[in-house]
Amino acid sequence: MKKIEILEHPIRISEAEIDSYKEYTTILDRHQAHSIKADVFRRLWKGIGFTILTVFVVGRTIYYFLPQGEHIPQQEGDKNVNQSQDETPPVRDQDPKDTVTLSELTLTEEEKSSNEFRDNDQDEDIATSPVVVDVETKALDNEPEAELSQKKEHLVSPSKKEYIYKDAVPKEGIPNLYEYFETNLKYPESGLLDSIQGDVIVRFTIMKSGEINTIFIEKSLGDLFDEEAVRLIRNMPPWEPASVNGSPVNSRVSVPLHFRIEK
Amino acid sequence: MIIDDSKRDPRKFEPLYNRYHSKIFRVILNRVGVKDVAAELTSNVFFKALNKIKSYKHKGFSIYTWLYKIAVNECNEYFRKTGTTKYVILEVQHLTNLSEEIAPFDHDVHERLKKALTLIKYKDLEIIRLRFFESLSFKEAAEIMGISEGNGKVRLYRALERLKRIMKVT
Repeated sequence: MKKIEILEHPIRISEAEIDSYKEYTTILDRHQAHSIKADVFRRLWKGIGFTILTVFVVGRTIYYFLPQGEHIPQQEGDKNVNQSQDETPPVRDQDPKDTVTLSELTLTEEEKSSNEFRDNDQDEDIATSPVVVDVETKALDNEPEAELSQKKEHLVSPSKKEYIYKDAVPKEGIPNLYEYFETNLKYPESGLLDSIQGDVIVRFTIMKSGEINTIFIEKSLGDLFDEEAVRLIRNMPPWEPASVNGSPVNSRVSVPLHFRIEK
Repeated sequence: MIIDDSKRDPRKFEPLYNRYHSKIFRVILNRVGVKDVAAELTSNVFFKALNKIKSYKHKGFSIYTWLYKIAVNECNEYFRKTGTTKYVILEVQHLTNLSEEIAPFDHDVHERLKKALTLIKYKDLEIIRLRFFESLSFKEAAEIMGISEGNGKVRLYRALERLKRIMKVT
């Protein structure tokens, strides 16, 4: 309900009466109190901000500097292994036992071939070096190809089923549906006052049986427009339900309804 | 000069207060219709002006326009909080100005115009009031409403169109 009242003359009041309402000192006092309060708040926020910043900076410093000595070389080692693993083809069902025996084998082969040139420290390096991993993967690649392809098929495509989905459509066709909207949509007269124009988007469910259910207004223009849109949807021509592999299923449809003022 | 001084020392704001208090009081009174409320809101206007004077920038308008803007916002806030009646002073001259714009050849327009003005949106009423009843320029009216001059013109045009449409219906 609007509350606007039209007066034909200004409300009468003398200058003296207006002057009696003057209170500059009160305003000044209020302003000073406000300034003090604002100043306190400003300082408080500055303090909180500074504390948060300090905690953050100190925290970051501790995080970066203290564990650095132990952690970084390990990361580098991990990176090498990861990189070499990336180069190998992906094998998912790899037995850990196989890996252990293969690495042992490779180690012994390496030891055999170049035992004279390496001391104990170098052996440790080999154990974590990319070369070992390459050998491992080569060893795995030597498995019978048929077995591998079977494995891969099993991993990549577990089961394939085809679904054919058909959308719900009006039985009399989409052009007829739009013609129905155009001829039956009535602009609510009270909407003229506010010169409302626009779209109401209505979402509804088409049940397996073809009946319309669960009408929901996605975009509203006001109660009267929404009511008109719901009325229109309820009385619209029948629909063919959506289907999956020929069997009907429930589906949702959204329809925009255009409300325009005719000039 | 006074504004610059006021930015440094709030006590220097007093001459501005004395000069514009009465005008702002009347602007508010003509909107809220109650003297005590108008006094309270006027006090708030100058309190806010004093708090914000440091950020005041001269945009080619008198400082009165700035105070007026604060007053309009203060009134709107008051209406929003209390939901009380909004008053519009519509003197014969105002009606004539507006009716000449809307329906120049219709001599029986005043009553319908009055009724239509109570039915339009308050935002539309506000721009019509600033332009026709308070005879402000487009630039000033737009500044008070916090919109650009071009936007102000468009809004006024649309408000008048809506007013005409309502007059046809009523």
